[in-house]
Amino acid sequence: MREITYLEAIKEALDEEMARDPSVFILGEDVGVYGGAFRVTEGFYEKYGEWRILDTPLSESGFTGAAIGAALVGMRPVVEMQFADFISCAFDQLVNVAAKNHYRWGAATPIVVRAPYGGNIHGGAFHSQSIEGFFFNVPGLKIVAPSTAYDAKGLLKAAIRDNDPVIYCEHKYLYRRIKDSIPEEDYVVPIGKAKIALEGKDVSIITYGAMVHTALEAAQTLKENGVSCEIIDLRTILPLDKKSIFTTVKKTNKVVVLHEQTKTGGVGAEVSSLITEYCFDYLDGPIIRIAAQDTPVPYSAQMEEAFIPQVKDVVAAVEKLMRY
Amino acid sequence: MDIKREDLLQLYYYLKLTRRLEDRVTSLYHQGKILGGAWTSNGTEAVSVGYGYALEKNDIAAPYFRDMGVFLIRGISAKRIMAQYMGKKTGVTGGKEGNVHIGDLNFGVIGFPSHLADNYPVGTGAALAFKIRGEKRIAVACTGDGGTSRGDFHEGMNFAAARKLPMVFVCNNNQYAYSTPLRLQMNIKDIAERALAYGIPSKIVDGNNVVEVYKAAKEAYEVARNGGGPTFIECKTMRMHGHSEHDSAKYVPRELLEEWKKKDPILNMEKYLWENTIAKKEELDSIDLRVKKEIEEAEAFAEESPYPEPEDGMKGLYATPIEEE
Amino acid sequence: MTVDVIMPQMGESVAEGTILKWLVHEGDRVEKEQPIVEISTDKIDTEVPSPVNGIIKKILYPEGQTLRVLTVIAQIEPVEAKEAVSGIVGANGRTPTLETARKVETIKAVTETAEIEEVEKRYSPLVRRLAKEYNINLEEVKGTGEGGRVTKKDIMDYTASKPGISAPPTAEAEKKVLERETLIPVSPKRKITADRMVLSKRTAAHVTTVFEVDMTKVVRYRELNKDAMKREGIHLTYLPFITLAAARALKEHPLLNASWTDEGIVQKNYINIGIAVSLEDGLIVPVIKDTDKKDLLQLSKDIQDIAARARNKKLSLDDIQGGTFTITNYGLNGSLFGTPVILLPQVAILGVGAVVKRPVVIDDAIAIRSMMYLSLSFDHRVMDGANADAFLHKIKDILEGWEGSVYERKMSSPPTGYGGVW
Repeated sequence: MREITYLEAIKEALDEEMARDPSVFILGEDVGVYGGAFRVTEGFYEKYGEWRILDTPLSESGFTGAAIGAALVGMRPVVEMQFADFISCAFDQLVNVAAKNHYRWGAATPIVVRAPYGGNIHGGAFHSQSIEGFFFNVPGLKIVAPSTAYDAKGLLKAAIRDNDPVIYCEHKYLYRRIKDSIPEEDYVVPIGKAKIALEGKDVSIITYGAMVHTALEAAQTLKENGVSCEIIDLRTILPLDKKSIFTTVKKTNKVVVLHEQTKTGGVGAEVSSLITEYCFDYLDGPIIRIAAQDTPVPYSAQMEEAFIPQVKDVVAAVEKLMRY
Repeated sequence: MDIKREDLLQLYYYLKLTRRLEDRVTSLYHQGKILGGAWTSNGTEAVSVGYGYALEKNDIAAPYFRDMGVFLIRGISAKRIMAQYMGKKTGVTGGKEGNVHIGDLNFGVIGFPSHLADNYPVGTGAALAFKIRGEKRIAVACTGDGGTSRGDFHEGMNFAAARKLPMVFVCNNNQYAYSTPLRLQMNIKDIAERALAYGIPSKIVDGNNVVEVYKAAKEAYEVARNGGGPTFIECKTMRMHGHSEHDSAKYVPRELLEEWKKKDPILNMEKYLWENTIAKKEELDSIDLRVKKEIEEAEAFAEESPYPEPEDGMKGLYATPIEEE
Repeated sequence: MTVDVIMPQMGESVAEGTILKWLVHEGDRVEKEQPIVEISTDKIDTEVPSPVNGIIKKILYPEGQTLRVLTVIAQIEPVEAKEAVSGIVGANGRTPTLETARKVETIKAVTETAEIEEVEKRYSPLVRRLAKEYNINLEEVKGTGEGGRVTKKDIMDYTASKPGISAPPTAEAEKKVLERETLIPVSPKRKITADRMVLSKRTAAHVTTVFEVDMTKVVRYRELNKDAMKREGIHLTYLPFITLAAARALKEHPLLNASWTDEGIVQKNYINIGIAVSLEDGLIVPVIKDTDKKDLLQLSKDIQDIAARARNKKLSLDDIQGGTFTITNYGLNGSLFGTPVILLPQVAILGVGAVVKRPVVIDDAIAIRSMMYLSLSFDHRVMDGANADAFLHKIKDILEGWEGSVYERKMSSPPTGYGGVW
């Protein structure tokens, strides 16, 4: 076992998969010679050469489409969006080609699109967005969002080995700020399975991504006030692990859904609806969503702090729910 | 380039097969036996037959919706295509897709969405895979004149050129994108000029002359196969029907249609075969008979085939299904 | 003019049925085909659908009541389908707009920072359910939640303080606890099973013959193919192999696919093998029709499907009728061999034991093989040991000689696709 950061976990997953399977290759802007805007692929160019780690022109739609074409004839491309915010340029290829290929004409499209997302880095409106919502409503895609280094490595491997298009949301803020012990041997975190990040009995906090750490911090404070929180880390956004969601609701009967994505029409709205539809008789209070405010991401630090859900917001919401 | 006699006859056969299949489709559509929409390549068959026939077995085609000739040449049978039009279970996509939205990697044909020019980057991707793996295979993508206005047309060509990929780009310039004539679609005279912007050599051919299209395609494929990078082929032709079979195309001046009717690609080929004494009339007639029979059988097969079950609509979403407990 | 809902006759010899659970209340609007009551009869629990669109006028008998078949158990006032669509209808036939309005208030009160004022008594879905299960009058419960709301904790505290309230009764009736004995009431299904077992043993001349089968080739075949079949959604077990072998053997030994009647032995010209499935409340035997016409892949799918439907209580009458032979797989529980009871009017039943690795002698040397015992109980009125043993020997031969040729199919492997062939 050794300790590595979230970013190193992503790097290792890519490196190990490329070494293991010659059909895996990486393409994106500045991934080759430069080693990637966040240095995720540093050293890969020297190791794998310019035909397995391709510096593409500035055309997200073009190189995502190319990834799809390569996948159709036997490759397993990993596309890197420099910032998740630019994934919208490839919306058409992802939604109308990749997502629908297998359903329409039986052709598997095993691509992975890595999307560095999330705020708290003073990035402003176009370097901080959460993008899972854009694709959540598109059947045929899979979306994952790891919150720990362990999950980051395991989920990326799973995504690469999966035969469907997977959007892999990696949180920029977590890159160098969190570490995890990982085993030496090869391991995979299955897509479609949530994880209990913290066991508890009074209230369930269902969340994913960087917000898992916010929830864990809030749970610490709440524990001192005698409230036991159960935290469910979804890990996979699409398809949702309904079984885990329903199990925790039946256990605690009070639910808070927390995500960094903006509130209206976010993943939390779907989770909330699923719970009311299938666990109505287990609810001892309304389902509360805590999410980013419904605006583009502001730049100035004070405004960004108010925009992104903070530990105190989670504590306040849970306390209110406990008093209900 | 000398073309073998068998190949010339095959080109003729495929022209006739494409024409007849699409004529039947049009008729069935007007009878309400085919629902939704029907888009044909009437008048432009030489383009798809020409570039389709020049492909090697292991090459990959990324066609668009006026490329019926390519599907037939690559081996997707008329039976399966007819069944697809009728929404039957035995159709190419089992009822999941309709009309011309065909794809089958067992025959090297990449399925395409309705969004034009999405197939340009996708075809480029296949060529990229061949280059990475060092295979002597090429990919070809085709779109219409309207498709060349979309971003993906440019992004695909640019990427292929920047990496010198084994790719050929074809444009079926049939002068109308639905009701939009060329003069409202672009400010240039020849779409081939666009290729120059990406450093891609281009060729302009008579899109109603299947031999010319075939030769240009064959040359371009060899260039690509031997590492010479992409080529762009503009085929000048005319769309003789409406954008789709429910469009009467009143916006097209009658004189234009009359003029192009005289240059019908099948007529052209017949003339070519007679004048150069390559084929006798009996041979052409027997091909005609063969085509008629094939399409009749295809229609009968499609009529007798069952519809898919409603539940089939829930299947096949993922290639790697997630186990639900 | 009211429409009657009757206790249906489910099965050849059924005279009674028991009402398990009403799915509607009087006054509810129902649609044609909508399930309105769950009943239990001879070996099958099922739902009774409404014969018409209408409103439930009267429910005539309570849950737990056993009645003769064809008894009228409820009445429906028919209503035209068009009329039925008028606004939202709640579970009790009242439009719950008042409830909805209150709930909206509730949510707003929690998410905004305003203090919650004292509102009239509201009960959350959880609290209402617990009150129903524990039979508590909510008026008597003191609420400690916001604004005097009754919470889950309040209910739990209340039940702790009142000794008369006990845990809600489970589906299988309460147990009367006397000093050294416990009386468990017998469910209708249990009684029927008991009667049938005794009748079978009394009628058929039961003899059991046991064969040992070397399953090593089947085990190996399964290992090689289980991943591919998993991709098709099939969890491959040994049962489909045995079922396929039994079907083939029955074709050659039709005497085991028969019935004893007063007129003579009736040989069936079709083979429907039933697979016994164990549920919490007893056994049920769904049947695979025309078993001999199916290949391994199809049998795997069918077995998986009927087992799942049996567990989810979704079997139809057709699923459990028409069996000509039965297989019971007690090997799942670890049992090596047994002496199963024949399911009348059949004449034989095949018991399948656990597959266990054991040392055996092959060509005068010791080898480790996967061994299994097959126990065949047969009716000695219909046949002699020689027939039964020949049949069982055939199954043994098929399983011991298993090769890969039965199942040949190209699985779709990405990313070449498979061209629309589903």
